[in-house]
Amino acid sequence: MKLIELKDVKKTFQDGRKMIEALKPTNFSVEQGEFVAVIGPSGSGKSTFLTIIGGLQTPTEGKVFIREDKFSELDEKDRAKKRFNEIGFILQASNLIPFLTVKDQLKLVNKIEKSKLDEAKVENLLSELGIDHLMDKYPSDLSGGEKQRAAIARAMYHNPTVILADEPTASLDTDRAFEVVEILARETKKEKKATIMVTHDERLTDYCDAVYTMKDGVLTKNHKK
Amino acid sequence: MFLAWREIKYSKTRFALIIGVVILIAYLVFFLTGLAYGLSQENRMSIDKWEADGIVLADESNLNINMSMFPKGQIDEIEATEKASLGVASSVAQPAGQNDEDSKVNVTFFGIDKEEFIFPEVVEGEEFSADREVIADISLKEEEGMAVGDDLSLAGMDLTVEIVGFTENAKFSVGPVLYTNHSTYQQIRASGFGEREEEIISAIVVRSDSEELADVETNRDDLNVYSTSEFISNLPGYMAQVLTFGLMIGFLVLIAAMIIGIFIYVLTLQKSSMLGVMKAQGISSAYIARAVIGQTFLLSFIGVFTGLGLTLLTGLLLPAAVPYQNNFIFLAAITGLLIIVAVAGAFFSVRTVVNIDPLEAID
Ligand SMILES: Nc1ncnc2c1ncn2[C@@H]1O[C@H](COP(=O)(O)OP(=O)(O)OP(=O)(O)O)[C@@H](O)[C@H]1O
Ligand SMILES: [Mg+2]
Repeated sequence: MKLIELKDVKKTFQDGRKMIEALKPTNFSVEQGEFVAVIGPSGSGKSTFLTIIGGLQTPTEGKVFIREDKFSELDEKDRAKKRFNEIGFILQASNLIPFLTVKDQLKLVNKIEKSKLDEAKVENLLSELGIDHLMDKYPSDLSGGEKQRAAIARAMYHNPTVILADEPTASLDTDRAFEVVEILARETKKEKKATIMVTHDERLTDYCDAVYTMKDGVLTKNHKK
Repeated sequence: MFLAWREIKYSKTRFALIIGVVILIAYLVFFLTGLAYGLSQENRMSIDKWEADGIVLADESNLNINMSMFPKGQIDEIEATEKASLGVASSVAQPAGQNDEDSKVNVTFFGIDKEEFIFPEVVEGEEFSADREVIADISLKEEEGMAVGDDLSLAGMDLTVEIVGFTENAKFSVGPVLYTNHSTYQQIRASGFGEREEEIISAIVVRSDSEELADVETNRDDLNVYSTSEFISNLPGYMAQVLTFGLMIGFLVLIAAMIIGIFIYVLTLQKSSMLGVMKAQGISSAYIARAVIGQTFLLSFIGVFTGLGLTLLTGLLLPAAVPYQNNFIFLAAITGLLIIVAVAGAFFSVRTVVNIDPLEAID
């Protein structure tokens, strides 16, 4: 099943009298269990692409489908709701709420849903990511890699359909970066998600099922080496 | 409340400071309220003690009881459910044998009839039974150290009175009341107005069974009946005092709202990138706004109730001479008002929360 699908999605920005085509008309899809990387130079439109899929902005033209539901047509409030339920965002850094412990970051999801914390699931998830011993620590006490793993746990905990990661390894050294990408790949397969990762670093794409390159708003699929 | 509490627990110092400011403001507001109430009580306590509905004064007195004067015999012409004659005279009293300035007390004499309803309840000693005996307000004992059996000399008069009993809540014009019989009252009053043949009084206090004193009839052109509340609001300086305090308290409450509103606003601005991340994760503006409002409620709740506790404690420790008095209706109303107003101040930040663009969380 196609969990993410873009049909003729285009994004233009008005910059004074000039029109910037940040994303040229794009057709794109990600299957369940597929881990996709998008690479490309700065300013090429990678974040624009990702945030349109995540519903943080709407396409100028075209449609975005999440699990075959029209997503881009919803109003802002419903998009936020669907984002909460279906999409896990992992950002560069500071993705965590500074005054919540790792466990409470997950618990927040339950608080919003008015459900009970699933202790077993928390234990499982955190030990799988190798941070179960950091459960009661605040983000400021974690290393960069641990923070990103906590952010992944936060994104996974709600069992989203789609995981969108915008340069999740930017603040990490190479070893940690590989670790985090490996975890993302593993969780995508195991939990049958559709994951898109935006990155600068081509070496990290080894774990991915497909690699796309963004250049001047044009997305092209790379051929497997 | 989850986010609100966790954040307070995490940034203890920051929130302790905010709560500290709320406590101080609340303390000031409560304390001023207590003082304002205490002072107004000292103006009117002895009047409230009558439990009367109205008062008859000379028409020409312009509602000033000190200027009202008419023959005591006119009480017979007045129709009311219950009536009591009252003579009012202010004087300066001093324990007999002393003549230093410090021991002088401004007092008000109430000349009354023992059989009439405004006769006070004696809590210590006994009722007066002869001329020149007085029942005094208990503050003379508590603040001046006087006792039953003490003689008081009156300034400018060759007259001493003896305290035979004490009563509570008998203050008029912020000074103690001395109750005495009509004949003693005539002597005290005479020193100011010269000897008269007929007994004179200042007012007739009436109780009425009907709405708005409809059944009270003075039957004379030179006497007028006023409701007790109208009489109280026309006490010299009374309204000015109540309004002054009221204005101060009102402004303080407003300032409290602004200070808390600004604190919360600055905190919200500081957090805006984090709030953007939360919104990117699909957490609704409503949930975040509720957390902000809930947090303000917690801060003001803790601050206001601590301030209230401190005020009550201070009230216990104050010397009797400070006219501080608790009124639980006022305290409850101010508590509620401060919290409501603080929370209203936080609504200012809701707009900011709604306007935060989750896109800013990316990059
Ligand atoms: N809100 C906006 N208004 C105007 N122009 C925009 C806006 N957002 C993005 N752009 C432009 O669109 C283009 C693509 O931006 P985008 O942020 O998607 O690049 P990116 O590939 O994520 O770059 P980086 O690798 O530096 O993060 C840029 O030229 C940028 O200036
Ligand atoms: Mg980007």
